Amino acid sequence: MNAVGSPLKYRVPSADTLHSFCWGDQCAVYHAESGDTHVLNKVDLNVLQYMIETPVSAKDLAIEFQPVFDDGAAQYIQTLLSNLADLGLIETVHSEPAH
Amino acid sequence: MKLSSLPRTELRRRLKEEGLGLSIGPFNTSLKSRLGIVAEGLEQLYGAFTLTGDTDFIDFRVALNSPPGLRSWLRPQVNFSFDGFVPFKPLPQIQAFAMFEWGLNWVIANNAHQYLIIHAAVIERNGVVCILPGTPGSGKSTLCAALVCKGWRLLSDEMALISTATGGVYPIPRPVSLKNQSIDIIQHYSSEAVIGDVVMDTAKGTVSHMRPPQLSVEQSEQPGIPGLIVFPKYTAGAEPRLVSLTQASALMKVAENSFNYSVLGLQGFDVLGDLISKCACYEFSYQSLGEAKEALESLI
Repeated sequence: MNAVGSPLKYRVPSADTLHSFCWGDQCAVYHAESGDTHVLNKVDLNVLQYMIETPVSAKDLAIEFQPVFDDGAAQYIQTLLSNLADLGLIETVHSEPAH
Repeated sequence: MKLSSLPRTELRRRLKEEGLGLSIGPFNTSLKSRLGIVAEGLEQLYGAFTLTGDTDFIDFRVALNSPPGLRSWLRPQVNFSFDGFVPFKPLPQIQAFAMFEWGLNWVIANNAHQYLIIHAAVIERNGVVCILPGTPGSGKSTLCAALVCKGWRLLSDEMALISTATGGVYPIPRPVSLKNQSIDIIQHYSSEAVIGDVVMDTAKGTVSHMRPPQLSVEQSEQPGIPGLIVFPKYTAGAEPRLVSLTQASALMKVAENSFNYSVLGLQGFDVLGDLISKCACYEFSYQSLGEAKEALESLI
């Protein structure tokens, strides 16, 4: 939760920044903004693509991908978001508090 | 007309005056030099290369000459220049021919961005191009020299030129660079290997160059189709061992061995991704060249 009590949301700022090739369950991902190339597994790339231009909370992501991860979805997503943020692939969005 | 058909006096005149135009892979290169050692190196190793015509466009104009001053008499040196720009410190004049090879590598790597350029030896057998990326010391040039002595086609011992337009691998079959023990190893491995003058005490140790096979030079205009990427590693005492590499890991390793991947940006990623998609990828450790040849031929 952020300072005003609404959940932090995350997004990939633009669809144009991410480019990928996948072979089996591994993908090479090019981040046009930084010029960096990363290797991600296909599930992680799916999570990343789910956030393109759409701010999503960790909780909503865990619900969306729960069938993939079973019980460990929330913890996996939290760690993944932290890693993706460290790589500069996603940004946090502070949503407006509900009135 | 081939360089070998040019009378010796005319070769030297062109080098001193208007520049000797050579078609080297996809590039027309004009070389000027007043140094006999450069002319001799060209005669030894570039005989099969085609001379450019008077009206052909020249991609790169390079020169190898003595720096001015008294030093040229006391301890002769050589400067490499490209379009009048001198990118390196001078070297002892005995290294002039090697400096031509090193300088031309630099010129291509820094200017030919119509290609994704990978630091790699490139060879072909049965229509399948095998790219051998490798850092210095990995043994790629020695392995490449051994294989082309036994019938593989040489596309390059130093750089894979991947067309950003077509994805084809463009040949640039220049002399194969050999260092230190590799010179003797190749001389003993194949009696057909023609090895140029040996120069000691360079920054890379003792160096020489092996003449590229004539057939490979004659096929300089035929791009190849990539099918294999093999990361070689000479390992003393090792049995030949091929370990499959995932495509994603291979892409990262090739990117690390590219001269201009970051320059090309997204285009470089797209070209590299397409290349990797067409290739089986391996890490390969070996000691014996004969066993390495058998192992690689088993993949094709």
